[in-house]
Amino acid sequence: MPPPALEAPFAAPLDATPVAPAVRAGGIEPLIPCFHCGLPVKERGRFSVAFRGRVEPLCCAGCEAVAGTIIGQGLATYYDHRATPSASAPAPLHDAVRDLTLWDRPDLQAGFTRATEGEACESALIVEGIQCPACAWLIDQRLRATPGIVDAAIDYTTRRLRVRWLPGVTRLSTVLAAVASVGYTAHPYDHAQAEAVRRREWRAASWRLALAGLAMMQVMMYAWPAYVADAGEMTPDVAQLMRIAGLLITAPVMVWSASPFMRGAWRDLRLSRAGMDVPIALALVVAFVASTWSVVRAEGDVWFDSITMFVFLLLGGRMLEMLARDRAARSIEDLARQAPLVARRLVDWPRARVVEPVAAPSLAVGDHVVVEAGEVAPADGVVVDGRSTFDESALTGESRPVGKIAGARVIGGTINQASAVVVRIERVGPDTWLAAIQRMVEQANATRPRIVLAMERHAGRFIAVILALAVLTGVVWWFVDPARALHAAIAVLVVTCPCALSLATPIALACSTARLAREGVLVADGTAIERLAAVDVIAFDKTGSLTEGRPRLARIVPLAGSSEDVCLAVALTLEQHARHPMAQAVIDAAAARGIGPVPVEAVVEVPGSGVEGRIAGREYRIGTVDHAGALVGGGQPDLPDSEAAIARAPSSAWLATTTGFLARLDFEDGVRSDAAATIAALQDRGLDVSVLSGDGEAATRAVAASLGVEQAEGRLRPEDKRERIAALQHAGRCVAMVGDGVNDGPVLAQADVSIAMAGGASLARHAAGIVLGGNALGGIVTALEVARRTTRIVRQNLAWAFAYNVACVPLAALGYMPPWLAGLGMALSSLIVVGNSMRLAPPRVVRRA
Amino acid sequence: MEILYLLIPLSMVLVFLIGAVFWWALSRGQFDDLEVPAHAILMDDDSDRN
Repeated sequence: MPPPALEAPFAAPLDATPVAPAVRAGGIEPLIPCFHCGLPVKERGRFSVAFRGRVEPLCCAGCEAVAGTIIGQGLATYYDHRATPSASAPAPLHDAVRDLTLWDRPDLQAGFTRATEGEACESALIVEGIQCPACAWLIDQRLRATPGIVDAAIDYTTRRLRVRWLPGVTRLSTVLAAVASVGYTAHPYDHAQAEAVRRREWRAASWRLALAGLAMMQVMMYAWPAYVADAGEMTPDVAQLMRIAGLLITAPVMVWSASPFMRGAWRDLRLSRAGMDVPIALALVVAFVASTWSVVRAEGDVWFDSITMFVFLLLGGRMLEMLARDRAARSIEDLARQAPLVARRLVDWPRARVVEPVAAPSLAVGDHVVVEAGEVAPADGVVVDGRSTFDESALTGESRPVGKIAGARVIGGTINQASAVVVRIERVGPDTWLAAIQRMVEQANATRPRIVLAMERHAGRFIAVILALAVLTGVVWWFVDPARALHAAIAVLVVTCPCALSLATPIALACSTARLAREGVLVADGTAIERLAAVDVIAFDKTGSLTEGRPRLARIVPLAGSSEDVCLAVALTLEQHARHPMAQAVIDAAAARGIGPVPVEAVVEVPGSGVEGRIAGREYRIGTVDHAGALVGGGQPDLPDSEAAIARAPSSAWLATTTGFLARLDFEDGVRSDAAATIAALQDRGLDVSVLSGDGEAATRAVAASLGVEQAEGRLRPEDKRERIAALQHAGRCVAMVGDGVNDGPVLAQADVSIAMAGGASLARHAAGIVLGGNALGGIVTALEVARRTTRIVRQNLAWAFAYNVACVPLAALGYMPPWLAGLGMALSSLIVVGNSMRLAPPRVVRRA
Repeated sequence: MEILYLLIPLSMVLVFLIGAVFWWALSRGQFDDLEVPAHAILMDDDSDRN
C-alpha cells in the first residue's frame, strides 16, 4: 500500500503527544482500514475525521492532516470517486539550470554525483531524445571515446545515464558536451526535470502523430478517386488537382512528423553505420521525390497516401513504446519521490531541543533531526530518543507498521506514524538505502541481457542485407517491368523495418522489471529474469531467510504456579519501554495474545541486564538470571538438572519478584510466517526445494521438516554450500539460492540465480541478482511467475517478428505487396510486440486524483 | 464537376485550420494529462462546498 500524500504533513499541524503503548488491553479486535490510506488502524479513536456526519477512523497523524485538509477545503467528493485508497504527491519543481559549466561546481553536483572506488566520480544523468536501443549504443560509444570517462551505462527504458569520470582529467561539463555532440541533451538527473523532459517529448510526439493522422485521412480522400475511377472517368486537370492537394498536405508530414526518422537516419549516415531509421527514411524520401516528380509532370502515380499512413503507423508504434518506457521509469522514480526536501535539524541536541529547518540534501552524518508524526525520515539513521511506528511499505513492501525504539534503524523515506522521534543521521544522499535501491534497479536495466547484445550486433548486418535486397529488387524489376520497379523496392524497404525484432526482448524485460519493482521485488541483474525462468532447484539458507533472524518469544515457563498470561502481562509492563530486541519480542507476543500492560511505577532499565519496576507496591525484575535472581536474594532458580544448562543460555530471560522466580521466557529465531506457504507454492510449480544451513544438523532438519522440505543439510560452511550447488549444476540442474546475502556471498555467486532478503546494511554490495524488498518470502513465487511469463512473451515476440519478415519479404520483392500494405504490416508487427510485452505490467488503476 | 475546384481547396483550408487549432490546444497543455481531467470533472462538486 503506498503512503499517504507526502507533502501535506509539512503544512499541517503536527501531533506530538507522547506515545501510548502499541498494545491495548482486551482481546484482539478485527483490523479496520484507515479511511484515508487503507492501512490498518492500530489505535482506535486516536485519529479520526468527520466525514458526512460520520466519524471515520484514521491510522496516523499524517492521514488525519491530509484528510482534514481535503474535507476542510470542500473536496470531500474525492473520497467518492477515488479508485484506490491514498494518493501520491507530485514532486515540487526546482529551478532549471541551463549553463553547462555551472554543473562543475561540486555543491551542485552533490545531488547526482558521488565518489566511487579509485578517483572516479559517478554521475546520474537523464538523456533527452533517446528513441531506440541504437541511440543508447551511440551515446555509449561516444562517451567511451572521451578521455577521462572510465565507464558509461545507459538505460534505454528510463533514459538514464550513469557515467564514471575522472575529476582530474575531465569535467562534468565535458561529459554533458560529449552527449550533446551526438545530438542528445543530457540533464543532471533530478525528478522535476525528468517530468519537464517527459512533457516536452509527449507534446512533440502528440503533435507529430496528430498531424500524420489528420493528413493520412485527408490524403486518402484525394487518392481514393484514382483507385476507383475507370480510365477516362476523371479529367486530367481534376486528377492533377488531387495530386497537388496530396502534395501540399504531405509536405508538412515530411517536415514535422517524419523528422525523427530523418534525423535518426542522418545521424547514422554521418557516422557511417546502418541503423533502423535508414531504410525508413530512404523509403519515405524515394516515395516522396518520385510522387513529387509525378506532380511536376502532371501524370503518373503518387504515393502520398502510403507515405502519410506509414508515418502515422510508425509514430503510433513509437508512442506506445514511449508509454511503456514511461511506465517502467515511473515505478523507479516513485521511489525517488519518497525522500522529503526539508528536514528539522536539532542544532544543539542533546542540550536543547532547538529546531532549525534545513534542506534535506544538506544533512550530514552525525546530525540529529526530529521526525514528527506523519513526517518522512529524511535519511537513514538511528533512533536516539522517543519511540514510534514507521510505515516502510513503500520501500520494503512490508505492509505492517514497524515499531521503532531507541537504537532501531530508521530508513530514509519511511513515514513516522505515531509520534515524534529524534534520529541521528548515519547515511545521507547516495549512500542511503533509498538511493541504493534506485541504483540497483537502474543497474539492472542497464545491464543488457546477452540476447539483446546479440541482437544489436546483428542489426547492422541485417539492415545492410535489407538495403541490398531493395536495390536488387528494383534492378531486377527495372528489366522485367520498369513501371513497377519503384513500387517493389519501396515495399521491400518498408516491410522489413526491423523495429519489431529489435524491440522484442528489451521491452518485455523492462515491463517485467517494472512490474516486480511494484511488488517489492527488486531485480538487480537484468539477466536474472531470463535465468530464473529456467530454475529447477531452489536452495534456502536457514537463518535470516527461512527464519526471521530476530528473537521471538517461543514459550513462557511459569515457575511459581502463576498463569502464563499473568507472567506475560508483568513482563510486558516492565519491557514496554525497554530498548532491547527481546523487549520487542515480548511486546509482539503480548499483542498476539491480546494482553495489555498494568499500571507500573519506578521502571528502571539496567543496560545489559534487564529491567526492574514496582507493580502494585511490589518489586519485579526481568532479565538475566543474575539480575532477576538478585531480587530473590542472589539465589539460583530451583531447577531440575536437565534444565540447569538452559538457565545461563542467552536466549532466555527470567522474571522474578521478591518472593521468588515467577517464570522463564525462552526466545528463539522464529520461522517466517509465510515460509511454509512459499515452499509449498514453489513445490507446486515443479521446483525441488532444499535447505542448506550453517546451523546444527538437528535444528536444520527440524525446521526443514516443519516446512515440508525433505532435503536438508546442516553444519555447512559457506564453501560446503558452494560445493553442493556446484554439484547440482554439474548434474545439469539450474539452481537458485536464497540467502541473507552477507556471509553467503560465495554461495550466491555460484548459484545461477541468487536471491537475497533485503538486509539493509550491505544491500548495495550484494552479489544477489534479485532482492526481496519486503520482509517476506512470497516475492520469490511472484518473481518466478513473472520470469516464466516474460520468457514466454519474449519467445512469442521473436517468433512473431521472425515469421513476419520471412513471410513478407518474398511477397514484397515479387511485387505482390503495394507500399501501403507493407507499411501497415510493418507497423502492426511492432504494435503487436509492444502490446504483447505490456501485458506484463498492466496499467495501474488511476492513483492521481 | 467544376465544384471540385472550390471544394478541394476548401477541404485543404479546413485541414490546415484543424491542424492549427490542434497545435494551439497542444501548446496550451490540453493534452498533457489524459487521465486526471476526466476524473476531475466528476469530482468538481460545488454543492459540497460551504
